[in-house]
Parts: sequence; C-alpha cells; structure tokens
Amino acid sequence: VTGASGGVGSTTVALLAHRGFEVVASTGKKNEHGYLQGLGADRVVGRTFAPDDGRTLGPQLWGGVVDCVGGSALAQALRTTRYGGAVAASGLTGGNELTTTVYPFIVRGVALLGIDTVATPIDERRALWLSMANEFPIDRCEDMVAQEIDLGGLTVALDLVLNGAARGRILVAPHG
Amino acid sequence: MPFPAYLLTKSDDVIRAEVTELSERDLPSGDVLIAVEWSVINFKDAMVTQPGNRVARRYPLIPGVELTGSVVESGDPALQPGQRVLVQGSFRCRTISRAAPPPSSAWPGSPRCSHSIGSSVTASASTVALSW
Repeated sequence: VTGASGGVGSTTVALLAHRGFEVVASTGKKNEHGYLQGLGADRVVGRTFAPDDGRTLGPQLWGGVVDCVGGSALAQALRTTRYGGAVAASGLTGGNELTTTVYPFIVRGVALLGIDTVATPIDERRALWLSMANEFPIDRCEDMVAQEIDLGGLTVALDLVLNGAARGRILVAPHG
Repeated sequence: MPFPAYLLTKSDDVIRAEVTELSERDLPSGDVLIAVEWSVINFKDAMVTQPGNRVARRYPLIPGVELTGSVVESGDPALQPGQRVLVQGSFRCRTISRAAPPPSSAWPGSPRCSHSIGSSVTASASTVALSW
C-alpha cells in the first residue's frame, strides 16, 4: 500500500490486515511507522521501496499494490509486482505523470486498474458502502481521525494536506 | 436560512478562501437539501485552493466531496426529512453546511457506523473496495 498514512491508504492497510493479508505499507513519514503497524501493517517501508537498478523489471515483490500516490510510486509498483498481479491507481499526491515501460504488462501479465469513485454507479457504491460498513474494523478507526476542525481551521488543514503532512482523515464540522 | 460556508473565489489567477455566510438561494437547485453534520478533506480538495489546478471546473466553489448529515427537504420519496445520509461526490454545490445533491448520490447508511466515523471511513473505503 503506497501513501499508506493517508485516508485511503490507512483504510486499505486496516482492511487488508483484517482480511489476513500480509501488508507492506509505504510512507515517506518516519514518525508514522508505529501508527501503520497499529493499523495492521506487517512491515513499513519508505517512499523508495524498489530502487531503480537500471533493469527494466525489478524483483517480483508484491501480489498486488494499492497505489494512492501515482508518479514514481506507481512506476515502482509496476516494476515489482509479481507475475499475474494487479496494481490499482487512485491517487496523485506523488505527481500526475507515469513513466513506465510495457514490460510489466506483456512479460508479467500485470494489470493496471484505474480507480474512480465519483462516477461509479450509485447501486455499485451502495453495495460497496454496505460491505465496507459491515467489514471495517471500527475499533481501529479512532487512530485514523487525525483532527476534528471547524470551518475556521480549514485553511491550515488544507495546507497540511497539500504538503503531505496530514495523517489519516481530517473531519470537518461546519457548525462546530 | 443562512449558513456558514468555506468559499473559494477566483479572479484573474488568484484564488481566495474565506469563511462567509450563504443562504439556500446560493445553492444550485436540487431535489434534496441536506444539513451537513460532518465532512472530510482529501488531497484533491486541497488542490482546488491552488491556481492552475486541473481539478475544479468552476468557481466560486465550496470545496469537499464527501459528507454525512440529515435530510431537510426532499423531492425523492426514498429520502425522507430527518433521515441521516452519507453523500460522496457528484453534487454540484459541494459541501459544507448545506448541500443540495441529486438523490442518486445519497445513501441512508448503516446502523453499525456512527456518522463521524462513516464520513471518515466509508467514502475512502469505496475507493479501497474498488481497488481490490
């Protein structure tokens, strides 16, 4: 899971760990390693988890990757996903460009899955929300809510998010 | 009824943010009016405060795409006043305080999730669920 300390990343780590997967969390934040282990990560690695050694394809490390970052994280994920695995891309905090070759796709059969929720048909979303609401390990949730703010706190909080300094989710109470 | 809102306005290439008061007349017309209890912010919500972003299509804009709250008025028989709902994406006015989404994007929720937790988790969980 890349961008593991963010909202989608944290949720992914907790859900996958709850389902019994061996979860490796990637984050650039050294002070969030304990938090991610608390959500269920077996191992926490940095932003560079598959250094470019000049070879087109890297070692086959992951059965699947949930990438919340884009940019070089997504490129690294594609180079190091196992034969037949899949990489799901939902984020752009690491940049909106992707530099890759076709080799992960045509040599290892790796699939790149694009993820959008805004235009997902509502029936599909309702089914997903229900299954997530039933399955999510709620007891791990409190750690994911970094802050509760009112509208006056938004400018500072949005800056935090923009600079990649926020953890989990920031809740906004408009009347608070 | 007036309500507080975090409003982004754009002139030339400068985007200004302010907490201001709006009324229901400022919202786009919709079938459902929701009093917002909680919203959350994500990276794209932060991007729309920056000039040159390719996320926002129009200003003025109240940023945010996820909320929980309760129905105030509804033209959709499936959503009754007082009912608590979760909304993600696809509503033109965007959060905060009051929102008028099309009914198709609202969901009555699950009794297992409190609404602050629901707002925090369920919308991001739909991204996660689609990711596996």
